[in-house]
Amino acid sequence: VKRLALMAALFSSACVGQILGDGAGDDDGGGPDDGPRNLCDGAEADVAGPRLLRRLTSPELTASIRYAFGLSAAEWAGPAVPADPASADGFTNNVDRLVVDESYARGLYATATGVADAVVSAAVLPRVLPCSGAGGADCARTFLDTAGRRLYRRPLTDAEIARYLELHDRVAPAEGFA
Amino acid sequence: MAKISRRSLLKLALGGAAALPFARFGGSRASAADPGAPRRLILWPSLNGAAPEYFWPSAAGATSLITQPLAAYASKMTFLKGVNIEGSYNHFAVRSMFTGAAIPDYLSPDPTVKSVDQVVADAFETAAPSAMRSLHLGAIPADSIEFYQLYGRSTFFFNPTPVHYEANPVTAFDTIFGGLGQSGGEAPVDHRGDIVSITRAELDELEARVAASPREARKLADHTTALDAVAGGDAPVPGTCDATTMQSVEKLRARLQGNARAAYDYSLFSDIFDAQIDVIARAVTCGLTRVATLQAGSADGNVIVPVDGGYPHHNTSHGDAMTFARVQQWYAGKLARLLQQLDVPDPLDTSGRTVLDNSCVVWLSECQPQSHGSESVPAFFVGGAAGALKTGQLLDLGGASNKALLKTLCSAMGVSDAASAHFGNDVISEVLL
Repeated sequence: VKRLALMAALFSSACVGQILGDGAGDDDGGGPDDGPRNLCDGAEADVAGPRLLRRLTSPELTASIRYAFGLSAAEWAGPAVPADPASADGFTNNVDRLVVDESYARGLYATATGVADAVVSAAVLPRVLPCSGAGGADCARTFLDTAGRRLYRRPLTDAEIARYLELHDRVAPAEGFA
Repeated sequence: MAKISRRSLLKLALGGAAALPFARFGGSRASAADPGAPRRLILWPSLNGAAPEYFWPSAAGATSLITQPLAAYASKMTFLKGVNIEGSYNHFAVRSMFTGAAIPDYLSPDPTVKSVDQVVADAFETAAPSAMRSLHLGAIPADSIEFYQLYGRSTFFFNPTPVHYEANPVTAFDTIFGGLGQSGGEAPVDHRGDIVSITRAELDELEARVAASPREARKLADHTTALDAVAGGDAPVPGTCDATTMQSVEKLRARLQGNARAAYDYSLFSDIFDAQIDVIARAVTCGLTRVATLQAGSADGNVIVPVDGGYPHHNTSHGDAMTFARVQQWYAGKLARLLQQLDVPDPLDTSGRTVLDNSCVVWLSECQPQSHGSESVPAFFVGGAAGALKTGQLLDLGGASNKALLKTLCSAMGVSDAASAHFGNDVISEVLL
């Protein structure tokens, strides 16, 4: 169950990334735009940038996973996702190019599986989740409050917690905790 | 890279022409291929073209200076003179050649349609899914890993966003074959559906928050489409696939394992090329996948080709035609390595045909080396696609569009007209049986 929840959390949060901005801006829905969003030429009033979905770059994903679970290079080699595409000027953190296509989604799923295998290993799990020996719903909630919070960079919402706990409650009787 | 489990394998990402005579290019038609045969498509882009006098053979069944290494397969080849890359020219035609999209200059946006490999992969996925939908490998597919991120992945193959190539053969082998043959223990339960369900719920929540932004809404839509592909799962790995180590891969393991950057070391070009060929050959032969591509070098790249003391690929294409022909002959020798491994009885076909007989391996260039024009680019295919394509020919198509070639490949592979509509309606009827 722990492995399952971990995979789900990792796959979800890493796919989604962050939402930035307040949504006041607009866009044309066109292709990647490498130019600045606000030209700030003084001829127009300041306009808040649009709300952006931002997928993590590969280095950010790697660092996030290592931090969330304290995994060393020996315990986890790194993500299995394709290299991040660069914008025309060579930067690899352009929000419009960091998308989740099929290749990336499959790589991320494989990454989630690999991280789950690493985290539930006998050497790592007690360190990441000391209550794992006892298991149970309270320990599952503890996991969401700790590792989940690090992965999502915020406390999980009630709806998110409910989804993971429902999964735990449904699967744990047959598969155990870890 | 640690070997992955057999189950992980199943989760693999594997993530202006002249008018044409009607007699030559009719509408698409039913293929004569054996509908039950396991057809395969392999795309082999040949970068920077070749001087005509060194590329085209003098007669059907013969080979040229460049294609001499393929002499043993001459009867299984059809040369296609007179194919133009429609709507493009120069090296940026690499984005047109397999998509049929017009790319009039370097700054044009990427195509918004799928390349032929992806169209065929879709059709195979619907009719008879493989464990791996398609396989895309590269041998130094850009001058550096930074250039790969910048240019390389937008080079040939689109779905419709650029398809990722794995440039490291050790990574490719371990990811594809590393877990095969492992056994023991209870087979784990596949919770893919649960995981995808949770992710989809989060995407639904996000959708409401970005509804006012078409750009962001489109990102989510693309994400959801990708999620659907993951949710669909994968077919079982055929029993004909094995995890026996490959000498060509093991030769590189110490240098490349866990080191993506090292896969762009020019001194390893030939060895990487060989290893990637061997990986593709095994994956295609055993039926793990039925669509594969291999990009060696890049259109504007100067990987050193180990002929004589070594020639930078692109710069050499601007120089002496004979010298560059010998460079291209070296690539043909690599293709021979692939064909040799495919020319074995097809383990998925009880009729006795070889894998090569059931395949179509396509060599196609984006432009000519000196003029940079994209008229009558070097083009041939090897293998009859299970009886769908006529081999042993030397045709002069007199200005056929590459879209007609792509449509013909689709027809041979059993793709519907609707699914290949962006390639138009013309086919090269001389090659369809």
